[in-house]
Amino acid sequence: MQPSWTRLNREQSHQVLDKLSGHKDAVVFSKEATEVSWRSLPFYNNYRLYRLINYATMPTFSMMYLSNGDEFLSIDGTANPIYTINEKDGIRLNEMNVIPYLDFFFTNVQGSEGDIFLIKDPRKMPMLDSLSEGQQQSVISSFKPLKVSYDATQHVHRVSGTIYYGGGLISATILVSSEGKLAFQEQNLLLTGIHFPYSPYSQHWLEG
Amino acid sequence: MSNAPRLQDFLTNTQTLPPDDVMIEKALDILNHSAHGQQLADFVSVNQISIRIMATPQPTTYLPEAKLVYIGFSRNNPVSPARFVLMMAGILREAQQELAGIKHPHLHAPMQEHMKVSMAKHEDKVWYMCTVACELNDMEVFGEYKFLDELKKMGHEESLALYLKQERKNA
Repeated sequence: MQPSWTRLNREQSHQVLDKLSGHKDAVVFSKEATEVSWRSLPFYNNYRLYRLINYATMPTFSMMYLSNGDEFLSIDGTANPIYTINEKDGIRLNEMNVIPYLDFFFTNVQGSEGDIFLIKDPRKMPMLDSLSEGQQQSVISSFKPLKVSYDATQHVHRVSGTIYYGGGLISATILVSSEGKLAFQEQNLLLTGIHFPYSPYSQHWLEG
Repeated sequence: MSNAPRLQDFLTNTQTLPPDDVMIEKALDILNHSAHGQQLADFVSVNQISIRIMATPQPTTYLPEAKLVYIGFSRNNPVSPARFVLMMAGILREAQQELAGIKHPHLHAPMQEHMKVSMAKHEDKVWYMCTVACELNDMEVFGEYKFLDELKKMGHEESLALYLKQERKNA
């Protein structure tokens, strides 16, 4: 289970917003209507995930940052900020936290064909019910359960399982290096034509 | 079944985008081709609206101040030019509402007021996006942009159908 969000009080929130506003390209957040909260990430020592939500817009607007309380790196949809913090904080991966790391990574990084989603239980997959009955059955029957192992010779975690990406289900092995870098192996397309109306990571329509 | 080579490229950022100011300028230029879009482009220059692009995991727009709008998307998976234009139209319309004094109710206002005002603002914004999309879609020069298809992909299929029905009735 993911750790819950801890909401900062007004003074602490203002300190964070002051720090952020010092950056040249910082996205503007109003002090009056912005909630700042954080949660820990099990693979980092000093960095946390910060969430800023501006409640004065409809729908609310939020941004995520990785921060040690001093430096703030915005989550921008690419792997760059995550890889940067992995290096700075000395990411600690083990067989217990490699799946939470992949969940975190895929939630925040898009590929050229959109979101990637690691399926743990196809019956609990978001928006499964938006598919036809036949497609739902195909998803369930094509599913390969997650397997995690550690390759001590190459110093990588190997995570085998089923992924949703680019409108298809793919079985693959994800190699996660000790620095948290990802590579894919043994890919096999299991099913195509799976399209969801929303991003699996978003509660909103994919629009602005 | 066949292999899925696309996954190999998952972390390879191969897309090169024009500079932000070029994307913004081009989108405003396209908006200028539609009557309602032109009104938005004029609004930008008359009121000196600042348009910025931000990097976000999902496509989004944001209006923190009436004269400052953001359009966000991931550099790994940039939005199409058509979507960029429509996102810009939507958020500029919202900026117009704000400058005209049609603002979201205060955070502590009653829920009913939020529902009434915010829904009206959203309806107006989507109606505007539909209008701009239809106007641009009718132009041969923008045929390949497929503005109406893009609007549907943005989640506005139902709104577009209602809009077109209403337009036919008014014709």
